[in-house]
Amino acid sequence: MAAFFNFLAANPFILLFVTVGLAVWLGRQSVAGYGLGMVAAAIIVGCGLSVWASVYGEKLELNNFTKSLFYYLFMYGVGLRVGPSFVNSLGGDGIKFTFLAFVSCIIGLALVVLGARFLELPPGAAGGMLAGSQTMSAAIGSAEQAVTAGAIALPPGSTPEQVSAMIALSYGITYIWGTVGIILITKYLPKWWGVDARAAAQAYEKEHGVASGDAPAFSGWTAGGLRAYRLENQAWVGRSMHDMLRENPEYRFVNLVRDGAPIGAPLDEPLRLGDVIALGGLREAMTEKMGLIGPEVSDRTALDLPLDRAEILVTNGGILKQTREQWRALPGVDQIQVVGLERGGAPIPIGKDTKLQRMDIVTVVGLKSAVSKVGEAFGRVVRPSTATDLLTLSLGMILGFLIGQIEFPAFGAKVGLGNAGGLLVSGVLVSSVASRLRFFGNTPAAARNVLEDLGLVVFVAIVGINAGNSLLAQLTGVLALKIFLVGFVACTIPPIVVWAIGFHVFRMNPAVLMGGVAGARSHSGPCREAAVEIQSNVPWIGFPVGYAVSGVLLTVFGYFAMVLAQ
Amino acid sequence: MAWFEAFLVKYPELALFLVIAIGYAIGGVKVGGFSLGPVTGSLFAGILVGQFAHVPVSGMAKSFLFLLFLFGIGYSVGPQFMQALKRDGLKPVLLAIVCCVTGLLTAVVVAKALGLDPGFAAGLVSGALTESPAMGTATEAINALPLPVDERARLVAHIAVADAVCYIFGAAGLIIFVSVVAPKLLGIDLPAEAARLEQELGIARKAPGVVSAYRRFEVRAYRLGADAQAVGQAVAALEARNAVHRLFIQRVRRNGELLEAGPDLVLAVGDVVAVSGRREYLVELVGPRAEEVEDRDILDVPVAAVDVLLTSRDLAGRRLDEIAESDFARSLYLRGVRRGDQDLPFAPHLTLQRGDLVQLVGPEPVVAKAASRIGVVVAPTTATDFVTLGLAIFLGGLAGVLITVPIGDMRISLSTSVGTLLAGLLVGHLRTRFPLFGRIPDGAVSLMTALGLAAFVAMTGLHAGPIFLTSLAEAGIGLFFGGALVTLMPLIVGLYFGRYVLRMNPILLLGGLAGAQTMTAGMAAVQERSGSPVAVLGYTPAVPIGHILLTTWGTVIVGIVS
Repeated sequence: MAAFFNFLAANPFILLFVTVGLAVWLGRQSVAGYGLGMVAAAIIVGCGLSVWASVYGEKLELNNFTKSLFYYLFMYGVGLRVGPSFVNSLGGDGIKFTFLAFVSCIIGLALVVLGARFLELPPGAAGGMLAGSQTMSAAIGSAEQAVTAGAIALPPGSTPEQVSAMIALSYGITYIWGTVGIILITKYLPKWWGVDARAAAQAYEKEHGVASGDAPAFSGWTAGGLRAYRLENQAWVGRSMHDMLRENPEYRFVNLVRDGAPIGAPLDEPLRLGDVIALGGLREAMTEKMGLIGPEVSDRTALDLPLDRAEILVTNGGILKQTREQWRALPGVDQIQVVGLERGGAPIPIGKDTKLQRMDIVTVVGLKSAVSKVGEAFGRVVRPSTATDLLTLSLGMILGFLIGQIEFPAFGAKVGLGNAGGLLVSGVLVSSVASRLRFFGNTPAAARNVLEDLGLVVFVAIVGINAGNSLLAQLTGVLALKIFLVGFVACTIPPIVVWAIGFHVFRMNPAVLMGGVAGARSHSGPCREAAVEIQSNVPWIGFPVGYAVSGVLLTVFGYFAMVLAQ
Repeated sequence: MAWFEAFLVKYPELALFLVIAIGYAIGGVKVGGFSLGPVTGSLFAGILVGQFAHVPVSGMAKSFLFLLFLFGIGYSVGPQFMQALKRDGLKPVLLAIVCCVTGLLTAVVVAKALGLDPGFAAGLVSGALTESPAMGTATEAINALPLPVDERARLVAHIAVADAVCYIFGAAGLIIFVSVVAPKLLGIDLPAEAARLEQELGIARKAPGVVSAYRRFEVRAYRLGADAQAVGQAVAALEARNAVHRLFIQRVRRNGELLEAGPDLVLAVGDVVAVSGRREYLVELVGPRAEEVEDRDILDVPVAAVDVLLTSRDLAGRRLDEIAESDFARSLYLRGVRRGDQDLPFAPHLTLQRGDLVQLVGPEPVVAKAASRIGVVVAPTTATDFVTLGLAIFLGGLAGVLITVPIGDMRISLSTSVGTLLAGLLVGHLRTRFPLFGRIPDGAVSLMTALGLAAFVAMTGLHAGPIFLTSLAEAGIGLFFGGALVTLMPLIVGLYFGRYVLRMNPILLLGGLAGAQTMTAGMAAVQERSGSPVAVLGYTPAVPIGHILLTTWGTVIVGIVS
């Protein structure tokens, strides 16, 4: 075993992979429906490995660069996820979530301060307990600010260094329940209240049209169809498809098969008897003019064509001034079919007199070359892709860091969103802009899930591994027990109060409220767990507003906790 | 600029993303049809930013992301790897041996010509051939030399200096050579060549968003005229009469009302029926005898298409035509059967086995019921199996360290990176056999490889950047050009050897060259330019040989030069 831990200590990245793998596995196990979830499991696995290794005299330690790098990726991923729906759901409930965040933070602060005074804990403990039990590490900074700014009177015989050490120690002791506790509580609040959050989420999805991300079932009815006909109508022999499409503009011409061989879609080729013509169009058009060409045939050669489905972002203002007739003369127009139109994030039904506007997103299906040609005339063609736009990802990350730098002076400390908050905001900004414009910032759901899941689990695993080292030493003594107890209470009570207010007073949807509870504690882990638990993205809708508000409040409260507890 | 430096040092994560962003930006700039590509771009951007600030990026994050990248590329070609290895697995190995030996000989000649001491010569090998472990073996060898302690320490320090000088061209030169110069020398078009190789290996690539216009199964609505044969018949009897064609009646509209087609429902004149079936039967059998109508409501049946893994003991070993007659198979259609990585041509007498992937389509409730009888639904997912990912990389890394090759009195390990690559190949290969094992969606693989590589290369640049100029000043410009020669010589020799002696496929050859000099980023640049992951098939057999030989060279060069 010693050699094994020696290997892990020498190859810390391998240690990280094994921790991640075991954590996700452990997180999936459940006993009577109660499972840990991968975040709590990562702390336990990390601590466990670390403590086990210390038995053999190996110190497992992972560096902070990796920790914060993955944490930042996680926050940005969360921003990307919530972006489009956040912008759509602003207004209305925003005030309620802000209120809940205030309630949660103030109760947390009050409990920490009362606990510190009642149990006569040494100076510094209050700030650390607040930061740990509310899992807001930025509060450590503001708590220390209270010491250096001279806002608290040091008891005789103690030094500022001792107070700082006490902040860190109390943070370490309370942090673990601070994370695990809020995750478990948020996850099981609906159960304790006897509410089916999964059903509530589905109801919400139905009402507000939030996609749940399940594999879509399609309908036996399709808007467009593609059929092949054998030319038997003498009237068309010798004339070209060009003429036929001028007289019957509702059809799209995609393929011509002559003597068993497909010859593409030549518009000017004179037709011969027995040619098989593949036509596309709206389904009702296909059944309307039976016999125009001849009998329908089931000719695989004619119909087995690769069809391209793409979105076109309309940017070319000039072409919108042209008439429909002029559009019909564009090359390729006869070979594509418009199947959808989206304006400002909402689908618009297409009618005969629907007018296109700039920034509309038009979904078309047709031959690839035709889609490209028409797309270029109207604006930009956006094809679905499994590749992530790394340039936009990097720029978005940079933007997030810059937003995080914006600070306001308050109470002697500087208050800002911090890097993590800034990244959340930039994720929201980038994804809401990208969801409207489409041609940049492509991040497939699978890739975003990697950013989020891997980001969070790696971050937490590193916290666990690094905490494990000093965990045993910290947990001895009455002082540690007292700190732990105060942290336990300060972590446990606020979310329950928030839930009760949200559920009974505001009558919020339980699925949304789960996100609200997590947001009020400024911790995305429980929201992620809630989303997994009820298999829906709905909790994320309740998350961002509270997150932003409580993030700022808790950071400031680190200072308050120190001042009020003396 | 001081504030900028302080800012980058304070937020190394920001510096990393800044480098990637600049790398993608300069990698995309085209000058005369030539662009660097994001990989080279990120390397140069890293070196550039490294000139402003010594950014404290961690080696651990670099290795972590690099392993993620290696696992991802292994995973994506896993299904084809065994086949490619069987076809010409020995050629990349021979290529690697030729390249590495040429590299050593060139290094010896350069060292003699420039009069380098053993330390500089060893750094020349490790830097120009981008094999950092060679620095370790060379250090050992120098410490074993019969020299005073001070002298040995000076020589050991020289290794790092020469390595820093030669490494940048060793990396950038190789990337540009294999991805830009070599294709020109061979006179090939990378994307076309890769597409041909993919076809030979039977890789069917599906571009997202592109579908075949052909629908094998359809639902159409027909109005029954007075002379229709179906009039007066019950649904069950009608369907039984056409049992061979498997035409099923889904719904009926009578006097404007929608009725579910129960078996006893008797059809009447004027009914509109929704019939499902294979396209050719609908067109040829039903079409001429009934009038097709457009009726959205009746056709709007929720339809599901799912892949089901056959686990049921009842169904395994039975023939398709038997199963087709079971109750649950009514109005259920089979799109295909996959066994392992092959599509089976299906015929009525095809016997199903456990582990077959059965592709079903039909009305949603029918499919759901049938799927529960057959086995487990394999639905597309956006979730990544991190358990398999984490544990496979762990085991691969462990194996890479434990498997060692004895060379003389040394044991050279395979390295964690080769171990991880092999773990990726294995998981990717097993996935074709066990569809529910180790699932990683395409989008996730693509992010892991792209981000993993870009971050790795960017951090490499950030590491090398700050020390490059000072090292160059110390060692002299001659060493830089000597290093460039050591980098290029084996590539040129290898290129023509592989082309004319081994007659390798050009894409595999380029991948093999990158593998022989253990420069993964070079292989990734070939992948990027060819728009296909196949280059890794040439890379993988070559890279373990490259690692072992180049690491050994660290000892050998010290022995020869001293």
